[in-house]
Amino acid sequence: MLKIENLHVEIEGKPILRGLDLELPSGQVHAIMGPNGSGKSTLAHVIAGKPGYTVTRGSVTFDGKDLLALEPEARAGEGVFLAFQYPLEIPGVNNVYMLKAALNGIRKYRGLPEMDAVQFLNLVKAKTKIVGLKESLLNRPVNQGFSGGEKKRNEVFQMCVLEPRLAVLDETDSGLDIDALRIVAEGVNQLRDPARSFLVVTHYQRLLDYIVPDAVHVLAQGRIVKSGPRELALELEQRGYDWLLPTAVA
Amino acid sequence: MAALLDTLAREFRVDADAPFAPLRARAFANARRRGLPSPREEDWKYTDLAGLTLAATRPASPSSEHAALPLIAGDGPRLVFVDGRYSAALSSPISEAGLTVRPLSAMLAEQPAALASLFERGAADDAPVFDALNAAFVEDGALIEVAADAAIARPLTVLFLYEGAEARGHIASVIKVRVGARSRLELVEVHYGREAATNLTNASTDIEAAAGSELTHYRLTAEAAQANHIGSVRLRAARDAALSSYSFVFGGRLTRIDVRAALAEPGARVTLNGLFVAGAGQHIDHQTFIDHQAAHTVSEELYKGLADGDGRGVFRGQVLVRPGAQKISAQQASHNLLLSPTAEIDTKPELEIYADDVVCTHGATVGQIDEAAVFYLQSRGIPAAEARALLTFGFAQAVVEQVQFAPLRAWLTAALAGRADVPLPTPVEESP
Amino acid sequence: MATSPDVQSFIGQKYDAGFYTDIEQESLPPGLSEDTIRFLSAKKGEPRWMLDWRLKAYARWCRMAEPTWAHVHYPKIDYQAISYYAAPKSQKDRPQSLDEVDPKLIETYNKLGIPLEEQKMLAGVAVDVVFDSVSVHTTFKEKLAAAGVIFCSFSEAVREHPELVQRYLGSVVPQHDNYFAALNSAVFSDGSFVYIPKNTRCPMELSTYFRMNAMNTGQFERTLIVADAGSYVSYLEGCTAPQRDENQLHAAVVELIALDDAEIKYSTVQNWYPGDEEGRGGIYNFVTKRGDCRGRNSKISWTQVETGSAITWKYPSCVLRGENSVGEFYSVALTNNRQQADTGTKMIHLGRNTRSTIVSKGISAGRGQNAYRGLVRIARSAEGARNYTQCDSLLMGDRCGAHTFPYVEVKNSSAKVEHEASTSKISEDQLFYLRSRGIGNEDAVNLIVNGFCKQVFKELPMEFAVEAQKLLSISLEGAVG
Repeated sequence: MLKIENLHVEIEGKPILRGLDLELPSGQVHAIMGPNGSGKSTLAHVIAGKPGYTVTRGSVTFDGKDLLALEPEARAGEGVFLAFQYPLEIPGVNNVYMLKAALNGIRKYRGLPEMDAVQFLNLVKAKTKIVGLKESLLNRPVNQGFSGGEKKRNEVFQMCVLEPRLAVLDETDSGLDIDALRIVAEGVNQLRDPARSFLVVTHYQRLLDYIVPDAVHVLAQGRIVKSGPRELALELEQRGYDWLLPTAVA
Repeated sequence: MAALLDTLAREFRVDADAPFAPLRARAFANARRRGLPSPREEDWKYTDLAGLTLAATRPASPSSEHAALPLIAGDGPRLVFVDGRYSAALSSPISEAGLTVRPLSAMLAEQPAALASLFERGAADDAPVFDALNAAFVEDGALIEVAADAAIARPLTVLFLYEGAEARGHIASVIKVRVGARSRLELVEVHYGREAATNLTNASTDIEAAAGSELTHYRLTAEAAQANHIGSVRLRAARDAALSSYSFVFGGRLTRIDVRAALAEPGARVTLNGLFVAGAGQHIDHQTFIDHQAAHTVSEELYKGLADGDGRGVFRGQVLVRPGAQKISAQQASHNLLLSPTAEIDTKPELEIYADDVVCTHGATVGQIDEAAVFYLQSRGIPAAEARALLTFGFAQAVVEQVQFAPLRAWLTAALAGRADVPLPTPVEESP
Repeated sequence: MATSPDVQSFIGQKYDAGFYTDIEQESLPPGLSEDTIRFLSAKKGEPRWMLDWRLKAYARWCRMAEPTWAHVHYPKIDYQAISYYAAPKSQKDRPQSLDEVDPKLIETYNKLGIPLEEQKMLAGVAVDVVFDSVSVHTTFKEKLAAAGVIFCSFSEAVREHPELVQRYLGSVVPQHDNYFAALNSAVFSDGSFVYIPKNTRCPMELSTYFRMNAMNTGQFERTLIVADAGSYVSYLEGCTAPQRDENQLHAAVVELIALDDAEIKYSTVQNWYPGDEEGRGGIYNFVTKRGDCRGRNSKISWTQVETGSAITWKYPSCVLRGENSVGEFYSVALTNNRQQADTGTKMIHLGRNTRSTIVSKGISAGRGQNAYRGLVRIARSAEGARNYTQCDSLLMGDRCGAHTFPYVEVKNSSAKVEHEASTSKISEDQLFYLRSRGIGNEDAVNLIVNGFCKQVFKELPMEFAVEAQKLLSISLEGAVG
């Protein structure tokens, strides 16, 4: 499904990713772990098409399609979703309204008819239950005045409504207490499906207790330096990352 | 309105052999031709000069009280001018490496050619009237140069004392500062008037900060109750230079200060802060202009004003972002307290922006002391008057606490306490 | 009730055949003098007092100079080159069908969803049929008459309600208030007059009908609205559709008077022709609008959405005279291409416990120059006065400008005034967030812009708010790369 080959990415001339390879098959959950500054968020942003990153080499394909050639909204249309580490506040723009515009934008991209207001609202109400998002938050401006936990829930809620085929969760666990973490994880687990893949970017192992990955990759100094089964995450928690770094190896 | 200029015409003597005599004459002629600005001009909307006259001064006997001024105490590098003339006796020797300071009068006598640009600018046809008058009359001042890569450890004080001991009413002075690349200087400019003085000060300060340099300029105006003060501060910050200029105004009848800061090259940062207290019979007008000429420049501005009695405080802050000057951050705030029913505040924060990649904000408030806070303090046992003074002080504190030069901070604290006539907590000072 | 025929004739007047033939034979050559004014006044069959009032204004105007302080640039206007009494274009000079009209204009009408008949009106197509059905008029008329509301053309009011006009005309905007107000006072063409009797809630928004019929009131429009004690009226001016006009200079005057406990809500959507991409041919809109909260607890609220005109010079203001009176100003001003706007408000607090709120949203795109100019004045008498001002500018493109010139003058120590302003460009991060959710670039921009303007839109009557939103996105088309 998602295939990344020899990806090199720079920000303002500074190399961040330096030859990253990754394959994420359909229906699987892969975790990306790594020390601070290793390029985890860069990877998430490049998949979603955030401006400001220069891909100098390599490719990212999604079902054989060149993702890098697509605008961010087209990537969403293809089924890519990024749950932001720092969800933006957008004053004056109603949450539900934004979501409806998003859903219909994606449907249009796929050649489907727009959803009418009644259908949409029913859908939204059903989905709020999954992540336990207060209905009162729906009609507030996007993320404005939301607590940290509410913002993260709102991200997962949007994911539930938009039903992507590839969800990239960028440090969705950061800033969440254990209850919120569990709820968010449950939302993700409910969406697990043979036709849907997840890339879970995280700094801590604890999220993976709830979202059990099929594979764990360690990203360090811009490359995947080690891949393994979920047990690798536990090992990382005990041993840290240093033993994997090229300097430590050498 | 002509009255002031007529009086000045009688005072204006120019010796034909003196350096720059033709330029001085032209500058004065320009000023006379144009006359004083009127409130119809946007720059002078809230300040009417119609009543500005030069009182016939009765020369007072020189005093010695200034020796006790806290700001003059200590042995730091210092230049002192009495009624506009350099006083070697009161000044202290300057021995810091990399710092050159000369009185303008000495320079005029010895190397006038170096001062040509100063007089040429004042004699230009479009020079503002008070700039022209400054060029026509100026006799003394301070020329300050900091060599490249020199960090001047001790603050340099330039102190103008107005004794009223001279027959001249209009006292023009100049401070010109050039801070070399990667150098650092703290400059304290003080205008202090003795009670009997009725002078009209016309003081011009011109500061250029070369690439990577750092300059902090504190300007304190504490003129006598019947004195008037026209001040002009021009700042230019080159690449990566950091310039801060503070204006504190206490005292004086009419005070008008123009601060113009140019962020001329990328990376320049300018901070303009101010605090004024317009008490009974006082009119204090600040006009600031921040000119973002280059991309990647940052400005910050905070002016706090207090108006009491029938005092009137005026603030106008212009921020200009020129076409092509992208990646700009400009923040400006004007906060004011009215302490009496007959006081007045006029504030006009302005943004003029011709680039799009900018984050510019401004805020202005005019209000009064929060009575709920007064009550809270009272309920803790603090008398109402003291509570108000504390809150007033707290309001001014945001500017005062930024002052790094301890004697000035102490003076400001005392001045704020003095006007409320109750003791205020003395801030803990670092040892001099 | 005597108002019914007035309203009827006001609404129908431009289609009245007799009226047309009458004036079509006479129109004045360009130029302005006392004679012009005498002719104009005679043409309208005005009483002596009205003529005298105009002449006095003219004499004052002659002694005044055109203001230059606004942040706008335009070539000098030759006031002697303007015709102050031009007959409307005859039917045969107008386009005979929509096919003859600029297709770009029609495209815009279609995007706004304007019905075909209305499109013809707006584009100035010759129409024989009065499209407003008689039955609609009758309901409208009956409703207003039953409530005792007077709503008629200014000319009618001069003839039929001279006592009201004489009492209030010029009492808010004096003749000599400013150059353009003086000019308007001398030569005003027509406009509307509204009187809401005591303790009356105007049974309908004075909008839809007016919107179609207020056109062709000429370039010097005059509006006077009086809300008597305890009354309420919501008045809607303008039109979302781009309006074309032969006259480049528009100098209108609007006066509002709210007596004790009365409330006037005045909403405007201004979309006069802005000129082409190079700024050629747009309307100069120099308007004086002022409301006087004369009574205790009165309230005047201005809401404006300004997207049109080459130059806008406009400061809808409130004089808060009555104790506890309230003034509000909500504004969205958009400048694109070469448009220039210098707009804002004045809140003059005179009475005790008066309150005002200012929310201004400026959007600059292309080479547009957008200036907010506002005055908050707290007089010594305004004990306990409050003002809150929020003034935000959004920049789209590196060749536009956004400027903020607020004046705050406070002479009362119990007053509280707060002003906040910000200027920034549309956030790339917000755009990316929306696009990453599948929303196209242009839609994402519209979402953000509408969010930016929401505080103002919510003050508009519902139906108008939707139109205003659409209007904004159309006006911004092509502004985003």
